[in-house]
Amino acid sequence: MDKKERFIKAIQENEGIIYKVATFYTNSKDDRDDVVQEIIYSLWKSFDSFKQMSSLSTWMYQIAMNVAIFHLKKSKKTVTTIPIETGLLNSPESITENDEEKLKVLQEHVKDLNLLDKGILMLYLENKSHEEIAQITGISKTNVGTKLSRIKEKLKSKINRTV
Amino acid sequence: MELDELKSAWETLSIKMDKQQKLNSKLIEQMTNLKYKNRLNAIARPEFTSGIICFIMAVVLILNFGTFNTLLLQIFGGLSVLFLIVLPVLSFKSIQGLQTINMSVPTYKNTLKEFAKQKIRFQKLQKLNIFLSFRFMIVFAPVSVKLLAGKDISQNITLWLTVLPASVIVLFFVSRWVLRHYNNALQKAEELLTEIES
Repeated sequence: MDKKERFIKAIQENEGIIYKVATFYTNSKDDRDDVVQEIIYSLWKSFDSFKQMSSLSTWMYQIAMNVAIFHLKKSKKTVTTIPIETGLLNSPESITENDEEKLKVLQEHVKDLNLLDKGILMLYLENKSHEEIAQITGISKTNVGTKLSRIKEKLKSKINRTV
Repeated sequence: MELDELKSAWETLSIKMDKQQKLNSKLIEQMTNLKYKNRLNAIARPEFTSGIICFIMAVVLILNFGTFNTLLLQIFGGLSVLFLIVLPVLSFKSIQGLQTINMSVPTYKNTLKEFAKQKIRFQKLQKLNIFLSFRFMIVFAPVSVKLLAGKDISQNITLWLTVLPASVIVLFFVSRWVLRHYNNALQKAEELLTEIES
């Protein structure tokens, strides 16, 4: 199997990660599609650097989250990308209107978090262990616990304020 | 909505996104090809074009420097050339960082650090760019009128008595707005950097 075939297989097996990161960090379908493409392009560029010292999914989260941060900076500029054939959230059999509504509420709650907290929260929602979160973000395991408690407090007070 | 509800909402979506199969081989291959590689160039292109225009204008001013027959016009002409070179250089520098980003750095923390540093640099350069642009507008007006219409308006006292105070007032309000906008963004980036490094 050549490099491109291995890459395509890896992407197809883990495409959920790419879409989830793109969904978490963006607020519109166009932005999401843009980020998906940019993540795949960056993964391809960095594919040689994947040395299997971490799992494929950990490596994909790292690159995808790195790309998402910088996308926020560039999103105000108009860029041309390849149109994705089908949108992520317009498939009635998989993502319901109720899901979309919940997603909007979630995005509303996390929008004021700084990027470090946002990344930690996304990995927490993804049921990652403190060890995995530490590995992906680069902060210590203890720090992950402390930060998560603070994030929960921040979100709780925000939720209470909006009720 | 409580945090647990947020988590369960995300889990529902997460399961569905994990199951989906939207990316076929052809689409993935398309996304890795050269066509997409030019994405950042699309951002840089307008900056590059305006930079070229500025440089051409600078050359035109230098070639016609002999037309500026008073000391004031010569000073304004010289300053205009300087601005026409410095402003695009500042613009290029502010986007240069974006094009050298290495996404395969080992951790999110390192990327965030780089992001925050770049953001601080970008905001500072943009602030400087806006202030210089205003000064450029003031010195370039008499130079361009002299070049295009052959008239020297630099000695026109009435014009300066009206244009200059009006420019100062506009500059004051715009600067205040710009400072507030960029200082907020700068503060956020600096806070993020402090938190990462703590």
